[in-house]
Amino acid sequence: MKRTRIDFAPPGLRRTLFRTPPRLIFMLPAVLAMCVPAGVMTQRYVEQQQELTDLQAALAVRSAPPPVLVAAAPKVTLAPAQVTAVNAAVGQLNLPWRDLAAALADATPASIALLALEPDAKRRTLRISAEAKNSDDMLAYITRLQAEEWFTSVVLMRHEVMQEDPNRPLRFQVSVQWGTP
Amino acid sequence: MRKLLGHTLRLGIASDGLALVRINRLFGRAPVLLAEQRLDLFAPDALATGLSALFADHAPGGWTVSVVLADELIRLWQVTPPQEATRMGDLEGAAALRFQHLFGSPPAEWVIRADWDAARPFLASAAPLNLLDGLQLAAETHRFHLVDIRPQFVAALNQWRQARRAGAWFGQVHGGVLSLAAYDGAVLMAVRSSPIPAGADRDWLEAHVAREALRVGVGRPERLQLCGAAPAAWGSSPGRLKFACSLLEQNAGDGWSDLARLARTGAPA
Repeated sequence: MKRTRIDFAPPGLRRTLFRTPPRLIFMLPAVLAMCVPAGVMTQRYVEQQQELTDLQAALAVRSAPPPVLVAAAPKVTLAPAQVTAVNAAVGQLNLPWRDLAAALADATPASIALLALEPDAKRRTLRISAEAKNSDDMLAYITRLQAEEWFTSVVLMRHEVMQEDPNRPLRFQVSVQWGTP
Repeated sequence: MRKLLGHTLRLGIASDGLALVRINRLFGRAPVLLAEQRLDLFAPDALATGLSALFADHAPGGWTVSVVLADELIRLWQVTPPQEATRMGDLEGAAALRFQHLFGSPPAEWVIRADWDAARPFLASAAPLNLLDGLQLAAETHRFHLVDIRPQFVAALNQWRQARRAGAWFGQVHGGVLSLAAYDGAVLMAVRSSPIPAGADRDWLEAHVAREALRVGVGRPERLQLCGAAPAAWGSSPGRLKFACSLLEQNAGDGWSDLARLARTGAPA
């Protein structure tokens, strides 16, 4: 017959333990006895897992494709003139065109017509050839170039009025130098 | 009091006294009666005073204590679960309604516990709230652990559940009262208690069982199994018997008082 589960005692751990059949305590030595081989077997399992991991790592190293040997590049000896030319070319290639163009676009108003840009990467200078309607526009342009942070110096090299042109524009050349990047 | 492995205390509480019994759950030795205390449980502070006197020579600090409540202190009734009951609250509500219907008042001052079953009628029991509170307070005062509080009849049902046979009725004789659990097959149909008149013999028992079967609405049992201090004459004897009657406790008259027998009810025999 099944047990009648009527109990007014407050629930708790002690009540649960009390309801556990007391004769289960006689199974405690058997449980402990089973724990010993279980512990030994667990330790062996962990050791074997470690050995397996090591073996797999060794196998992976052994079966990996041999490293590709890169042939050493032959050493090329260059003459000083060639070195200078290469450096100049590299310097020219490394010219910061994007920043230079942005600085010029900011500084050049619509009244100034740019005719030529001659950069010199070695000296970090840029020679600007341009035309203005009059000297006031030219001087304003030079002032704006000097206000650009990107340029460290702005020098007016020469200027002349183009007599043969009916509009008589003022052609001038400015040399600007930019700072180290 | 020194605690040994497997020992536990059983406290019997009746309306006229208390009893303390020590048992060994581990090795199944005979229960030992430690103390008895006569009192009127319904007097003010009777439980606390009586327990203090009971524990005077047997301090229960650290012990686990099982409490057996005499059947006159509690109420037992059968509850039919509502159809399509889906929640525990449905069963609790049905038990409370049945309590009010049977005993005429809502169970506000009672604590209801039951052998909850949503599919079949189940046995429910109610114990006075102040009695349980008093026990909890005593546990805190005397520092013992309350692990089990059961009505005596429920404790007896569980104690003898392995000896009980399917279809047989179960009964308990205690303090001149016969409590019967009427079964229909394996289903408990009702629990009924009746005082035993003086000189009640086997004929009275047969007539009583027949009356109870009619009241409950089940057939008369083929076997009745009785625990407690049942008269030996009720046991089966060859001849004109309408049902077999087994006395589960052959040594019922072993000199233990009713209080002591109450406390040991439910302990391994």
